[in-house]
Amino acid sequence: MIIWSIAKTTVGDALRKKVLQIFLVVAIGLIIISLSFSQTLSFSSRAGSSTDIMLVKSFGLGLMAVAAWLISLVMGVSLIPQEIERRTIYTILAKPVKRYEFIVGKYLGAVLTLAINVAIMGIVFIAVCVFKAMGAEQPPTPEESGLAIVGMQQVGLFDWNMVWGVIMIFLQFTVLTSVILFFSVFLTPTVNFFMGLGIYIVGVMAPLTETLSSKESQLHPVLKAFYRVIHTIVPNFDKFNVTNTLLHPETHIESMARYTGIVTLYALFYSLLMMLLAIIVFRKKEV
Amino acid sequence: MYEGSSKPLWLLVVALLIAVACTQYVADPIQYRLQAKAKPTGGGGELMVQLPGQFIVASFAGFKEVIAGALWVRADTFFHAGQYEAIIPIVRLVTWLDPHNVDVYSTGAWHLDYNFVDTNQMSDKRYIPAAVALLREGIRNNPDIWDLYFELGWTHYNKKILDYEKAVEYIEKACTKDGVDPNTGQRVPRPEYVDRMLAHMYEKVGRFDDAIKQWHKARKRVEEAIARERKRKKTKFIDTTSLDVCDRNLGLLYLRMAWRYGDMEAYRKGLEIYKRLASRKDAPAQLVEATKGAEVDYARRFATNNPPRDALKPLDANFEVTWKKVAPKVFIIKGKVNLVPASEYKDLASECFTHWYRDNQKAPPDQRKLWRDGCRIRWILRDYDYKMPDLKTFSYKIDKTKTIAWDSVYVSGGTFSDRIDLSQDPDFYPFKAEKYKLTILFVPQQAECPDYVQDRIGWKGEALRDKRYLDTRTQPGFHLLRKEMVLTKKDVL
Repeated sequence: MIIWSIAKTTVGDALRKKVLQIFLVVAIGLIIISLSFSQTLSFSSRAGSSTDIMLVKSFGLGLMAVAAWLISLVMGVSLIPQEIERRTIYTILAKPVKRYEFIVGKYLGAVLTLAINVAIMGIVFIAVCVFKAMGAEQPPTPEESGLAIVGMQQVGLFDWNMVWGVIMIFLQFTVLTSVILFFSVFLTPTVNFFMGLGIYIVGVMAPLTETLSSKESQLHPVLKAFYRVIHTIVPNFDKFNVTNTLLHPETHIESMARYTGIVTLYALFYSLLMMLLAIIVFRKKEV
Repeated sequence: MYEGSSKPLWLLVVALLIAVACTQYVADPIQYRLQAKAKPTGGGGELMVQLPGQFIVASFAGFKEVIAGALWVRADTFFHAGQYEAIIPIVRLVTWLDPHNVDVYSTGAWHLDYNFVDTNQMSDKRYIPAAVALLREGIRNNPDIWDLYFELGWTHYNKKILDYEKAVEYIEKACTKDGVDPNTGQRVPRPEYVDRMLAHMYEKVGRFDDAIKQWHKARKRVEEAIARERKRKKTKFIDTTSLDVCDRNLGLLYLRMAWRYGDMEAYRKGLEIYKRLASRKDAPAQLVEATKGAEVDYARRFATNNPPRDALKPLDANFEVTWKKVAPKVFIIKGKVNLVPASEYKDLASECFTHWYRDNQKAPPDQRKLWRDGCRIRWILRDYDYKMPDLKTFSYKIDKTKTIAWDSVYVSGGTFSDRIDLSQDPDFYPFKAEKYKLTILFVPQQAECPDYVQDRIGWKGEALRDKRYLDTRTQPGFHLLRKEMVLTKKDVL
């Protein structure tokens, strides 16, 4: 109950922040503007609607990821320090609220805020995709257009892959939020911002750290071990980055549901780990 | 403010670390299966470095496909400016950023093997292996759809490589794959022209039984496609041209098997199909007349047990060819070939259907044709030891010291002549080798030999004879005309 109260207050605080509202409005505006994207390549054998739809999807997913990233960072860095700065933390902890309840409540609030923002963007994005696909047809390729064919290829309206895409974005940034929350326990917001940024970049480049630590790598064994540690400890944000596969449904997707399940577990375990570390540090912190 | 011992919490941290590592390793193999199978080769990395900074940042920030799209639009500008060479590095980059964009592979390969043209609009054949390698990479990344198998088959079939046996292999593979809804990813049947193309190709390589089976399969698929369209559009009025295309082609295949090789059972089957087509209310008068002619011919031949075997009657090609250097890297190729005097069509079995000879005889004497034109003779000039490389990985950087060129010459009135000017494009034709091979040939199997000429000489050129230049070894079962000459650097420059 206490956790839920803290979470609700956090959501209320976050949603009132003008900067987060601006991120959301700008992202939604840009997603809607992407409706006008058109790739009219006269030489392209696949010039036409499906290419346009792909551009809208790619742009929309990318934009949502950037917006969610900014929301996580800006919201996360101030989660704990703001309470300390405003001295409201003394009132809260004196109620009495246990320290772990405070941390869990704060994280839950942050995740809920993220969920609300991603859900709003996701609904607009999927509606834009459906609107773009309405009445779209796939033309025959020029080389074959001399041959008689039966009808144009009509494209379907609703792409479930985009729902998976939105879920992946949400999961990715719940992990980043947990990392930032952990740092916010003992770092100032500015340092935390750059720390979060750095961790995100390293996490996105996980395939690189994996290659550098692989058996085939020519690096010194000590360096290889270093990269192996980095690859294991830093959250692997690349795991959530399957946009290309989602954008090209012709790619054989073995089991998107299974993959999403495993990645959800990964996000859950990692977030719990970060929260636990935050609790351990916060317990020792003199407030 | 302390809240008890931290020991259990640390134990939980260790447990969660293990759980994180485990889920990561379970997810890895699935993620690899979701990603592109073939890593782009041939300069993607080094090209990426040349990209403007904002493109690199944007591509790492989750906008890879948007950047790929923007670059692809840029490629369009180069295309319209005729700067084809500028397109290829972009193709490499786009496939690097977006390895599932099938369109980029097919268009990129088309640029490579067809669009790099010299002053005389002849394409640079040295890029063909690169085009094939690019398409193969595309297939490795997109193995479950028909598109790129078809594209590779078409590259081998039409104008570029002209290797029909290989083309058959790839189109056969395309015919085992489905298409996909480009938006939702749901499987949709491949277009029915893919199946029709395979039937045509079987015919070209002389696999007539396979061609017949394939025409039946193609027809069935067209019927299914029409049924789907009827259901989708909720109307009976659907264009059924594709169905007629299958019927006409299968009917003609049977008739040609009869006319060319004397298969009377095939004659009966072909006639049955044409009688059905001719009995329709909207049947063109020409089709009705042709069918009646064939009916009469069949009845006469059946009664007298006299099957036609036009492709088995020898025809002396009397092939002659000379070449002359008129300036450095400029040659004239001239020759004669007996393809095909109008008189050869007088008693040809196909005449009952086409009436070409009859109509030609009716024409005023000054308009009467003495020859049935339409064949083309191909010439190939290359370094003596040139062998087209089979690239395992894609690279658009070709060996620019090599020379290879080919084209074909139209045969008119039994003669042909062509001026080949390779002097204006030293980048295309560097002539660095000491010796060259000039091959001049006629291949009855290919598009350079029209159907009506095949009516006289057969699909495989079985009727062709020539004292000097008949080649029956290069393509077993086929009769080709081939003259090869070895030239020195002095002969060329």
